[in-house]
Amino acid sequence: MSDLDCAIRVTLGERFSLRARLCLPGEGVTAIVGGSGGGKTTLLRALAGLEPDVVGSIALGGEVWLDTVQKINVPPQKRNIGVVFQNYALFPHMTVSQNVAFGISDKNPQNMSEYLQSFDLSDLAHERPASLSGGQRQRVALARALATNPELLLLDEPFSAVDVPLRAKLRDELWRAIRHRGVPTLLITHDISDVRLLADWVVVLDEGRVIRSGPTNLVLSRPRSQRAARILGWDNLLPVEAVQSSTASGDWGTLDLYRPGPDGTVCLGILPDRISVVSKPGRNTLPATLEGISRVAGGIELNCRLHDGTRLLILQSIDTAIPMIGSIMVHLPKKSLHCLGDALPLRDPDHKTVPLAINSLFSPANQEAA
Amino acid sequence: MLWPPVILSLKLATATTAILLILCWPLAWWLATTRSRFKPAVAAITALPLVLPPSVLGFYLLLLFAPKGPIGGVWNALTGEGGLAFTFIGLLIASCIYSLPFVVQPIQAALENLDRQQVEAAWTLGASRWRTLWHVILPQIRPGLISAIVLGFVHTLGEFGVVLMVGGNIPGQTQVISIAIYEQVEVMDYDAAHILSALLTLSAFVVLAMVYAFLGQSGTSAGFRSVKT
Repeated sequence: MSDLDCAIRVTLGERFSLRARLCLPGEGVTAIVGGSGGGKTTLLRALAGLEPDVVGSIALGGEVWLDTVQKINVPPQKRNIGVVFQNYALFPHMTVSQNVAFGISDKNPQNMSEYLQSFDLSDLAHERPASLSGGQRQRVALARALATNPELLLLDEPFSAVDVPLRAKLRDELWRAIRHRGVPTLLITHDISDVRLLADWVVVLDEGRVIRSGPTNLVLSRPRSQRAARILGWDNLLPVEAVQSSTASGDWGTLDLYRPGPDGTVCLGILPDRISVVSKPGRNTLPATLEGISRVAGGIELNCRLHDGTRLLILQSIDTAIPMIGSIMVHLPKKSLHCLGDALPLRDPDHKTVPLAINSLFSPANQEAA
Repeated sequence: MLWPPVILSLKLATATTAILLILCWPLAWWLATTRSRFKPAVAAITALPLVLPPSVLGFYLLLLFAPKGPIGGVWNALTGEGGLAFTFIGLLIASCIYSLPFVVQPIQAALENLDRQQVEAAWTLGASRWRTLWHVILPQIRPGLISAIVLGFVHTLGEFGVVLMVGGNIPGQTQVISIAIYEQVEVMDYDAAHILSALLTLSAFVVLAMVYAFLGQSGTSAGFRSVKT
């Protein structure tokens, strides 16, 4: 499969602009993750051809969808994409089978019947969207989007309209449907669970800029910047005041680093499951106050606070002894401590080079960020 | 001679509704979708006939349609038939202006209620703009469209002030039902006035009852209550 190359600028009023340079793999699932107002949906709409004021270039493989220099702008009808909108956007006056068949030129009833069967929609073929549950609507929207054999599937927060218990089931159905058909997929989400469970590649968007991209495991374990870490659900961020050789210090104390900390480090990040409670002070231990204990998926969560007030979450396995509420000592292994810059990645070895059609779109700072 | 005013009124109402449907569609679409800073001004101009006394509107139109007026003068230069005042064409243009908000606003309200993402979903499924209009938009704004047709038609049928100012009272040319009723009352022919008044009241009631029944069945009143009369 060919890659999706995109170098675009979208300005929405005076307050927001999206500037994104991306080269995404043309297979598997890519998650676009970011906070609300970060530009995720704008990026999806620009790729789909639904955003009117887009400047730059977009190409899937050798096929150019947008090139404002060459005055090429392929309309959404010709881009051969499938889109599942946030509210599904099913046609309320049509039945399920009419919705699914809307984009198909060949409406052979036999094929349609088999197709609906593959999405477990046969019994609902003559129902209208108003009588369907949230999960059934999502299945119809997905079936409709995939019915045209799209070259790219775009999913805009497909689980936001359903409650938490249903999410896991829908996520599983979605995963099977897109893997079975092998269609490259772009998933817009703000839920890190979606990223962890569905995506092969992840792009982090913040205030209209790409601040991190790469394979999911790498990006989730090494966010490289404080802002990316926050978006990726890193709860433990220790503000750093000074980095000297292989130590970092802040109001919370001093910790040894595995490697010398780079210039520009503003905080240390550590995942909750890498921290342990120890009985005695030692190298890379800090005093803390255990304020709360809760049971979560995957173990026990200890809600702590360092003596400067910095919050620290610890995830420990169920079979580990649970400490008493009050003063404890925590160990932060130096190999698990990540030095994070403010917004820009300190260094991004997995960064892919993007052939740019319009270099003038981006200031040098933005090019570095992207 | 009761029938000529009835036929003229039906002819005027049908022509006005047909013209307004064609003209109002792009205007309603623009008003429903635009973020332009000119939208309030255009919306206000569109709604002006709702609040202006018919005699005021009629007076200005009379000036515009006069043989030496800006519009009547152009018409005279093109056709050599004098101005547009006291002609059926003048009456038709005046009716279109007077009934404009009654057609625009129900369509605009229905389009505003339409989920924009459904239109975009149709595009991403390969549907042309024409197919999207025909299969996605029109079926969903049907109640608003019917409201617009009925309101435009019935309102034109019952108009008086503007018609009197612009068209006067020329039998067979500009004497519509409402003017005929007025004249019959003036000459004390109450029987004829009764017949025409009853006819107008009954037809308006039947049409409105049918529309309300339809809107009740389709579970919506989109647009029908949006006209600020």
